Amino acid sequence: MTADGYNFGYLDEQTKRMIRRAILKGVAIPGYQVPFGSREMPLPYGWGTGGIQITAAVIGPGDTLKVIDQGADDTTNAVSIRNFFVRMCDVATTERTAEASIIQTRHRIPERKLAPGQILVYQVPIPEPLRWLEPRETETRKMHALREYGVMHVKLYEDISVKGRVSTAYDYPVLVNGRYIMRPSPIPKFDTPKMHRMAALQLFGAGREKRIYAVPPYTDVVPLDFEDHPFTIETWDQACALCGATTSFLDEVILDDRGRRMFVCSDTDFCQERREAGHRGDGGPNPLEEAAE
Amino acid sequence: MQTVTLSGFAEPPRDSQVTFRAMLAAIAEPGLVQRVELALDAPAPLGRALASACLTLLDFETPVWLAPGIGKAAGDWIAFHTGAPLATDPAAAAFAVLAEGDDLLPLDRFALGSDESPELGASLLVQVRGVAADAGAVWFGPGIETTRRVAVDGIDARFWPARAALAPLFPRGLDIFFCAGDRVVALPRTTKVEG
Repeated sequence: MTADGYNFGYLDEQTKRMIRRAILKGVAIPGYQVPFGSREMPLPYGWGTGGIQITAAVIGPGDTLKVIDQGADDTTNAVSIRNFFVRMCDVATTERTAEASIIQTRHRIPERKLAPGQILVYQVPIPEPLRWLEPRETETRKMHALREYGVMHVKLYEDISVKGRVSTAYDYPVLVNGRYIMRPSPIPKFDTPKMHRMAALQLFGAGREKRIYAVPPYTDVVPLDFEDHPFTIETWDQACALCGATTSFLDEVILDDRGRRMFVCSDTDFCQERREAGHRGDGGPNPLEEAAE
Repeated sequence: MQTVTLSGFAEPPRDSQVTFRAMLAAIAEPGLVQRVELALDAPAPLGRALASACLTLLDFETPVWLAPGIGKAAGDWIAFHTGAPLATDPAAAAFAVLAEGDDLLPLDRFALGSDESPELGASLLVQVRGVAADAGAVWFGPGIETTRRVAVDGIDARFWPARAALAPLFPRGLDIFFCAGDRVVALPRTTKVEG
């Protein structure tokens, strides 16, 4: 049973229709930001209101929902959003990437390759990739219309000339289907290549900024770079201390005030599945032992 | 004189979600045939998928243009259940609903959107005789891994070159849902069609 007095999915039917129309246009024009009438949600802007509105418009009783925040299923934001949809839709939830039909995410793409038919919903704080280069919406709309993206290449070039490399580590600008420059939301650039020709449908919702955009399956998503300064992703010289993975995105966990630290998978489900399959890491430093002087 | 208005969705939140998901899957993967399996008793010539699409997407915010083939009974049904304002000029409509045999051409009478707001390009909901996968023309583009073969039965052959002529206008364009019975196939503006 869903909570008394609420429509299925919290939103009223007219709002869902409006959001659904925006989603369909977003999918039809990959990477283009469709304006929509974002509603007040029972949580503040910045907590995923855009993603929640998309999920609410898409989800049905037959879906299985997974919600992650920085890769983890058990953080406050993820737990709250998951509980919200259990109360509002009475849907099944899961922490398993493979079992989910809809995955709402804040700032990560799961390590496991997504399957056809799955839907990945991103929570987006700032949808406009040109915003810090051009504050006026009237201008950025024109720039997208005219495909006038020189300023973005200049920004990346200036990064290289000043710092020797592109300093953007997350929310790395991408070109979608050879046409629109798009912000992929603040995912680490480690995740950016996963968007390219992904089998799952990717939907992006920015609640405060009132924009919806999308990348259909099997669509080109290419990070902007230069021939002599190609796009690169983060690498680590450690493996995950829990599961021993060497190919996943690792979080650094500070253990004490003596500089000891461990690295663990950011994607909790990926790490858990590996440990269940018998993979083990070195466990990291023992916090009970005195650190060597 | 007495008129009977047929009912709409039995359970609107559930039925519109089911329909939307079929349409979303259709437009995310153009050329894949999706089914809208709802018991919906809409007046002819509206098939189940087309009628469900109307109830799912249309409301007071979306001017809709009805082609002559839709007729009075189906037109009244759409107007009654959706509350959508009826546009007399196709260029002013966000959605256009066409029956089998209605003339799709000329395509540029429909709104194509602008370069700054391409989402204002119209969505066409078109009743056709049949849609089938693995036969007919070759489709490719976003949402299609390599290519897909799709046969749309019962539309004017001149439609295909006319649609191809719109491609250079991208991002302006038209997004089309072909419906036949409970089947729906989407043809967004990004899909290219050969043969």
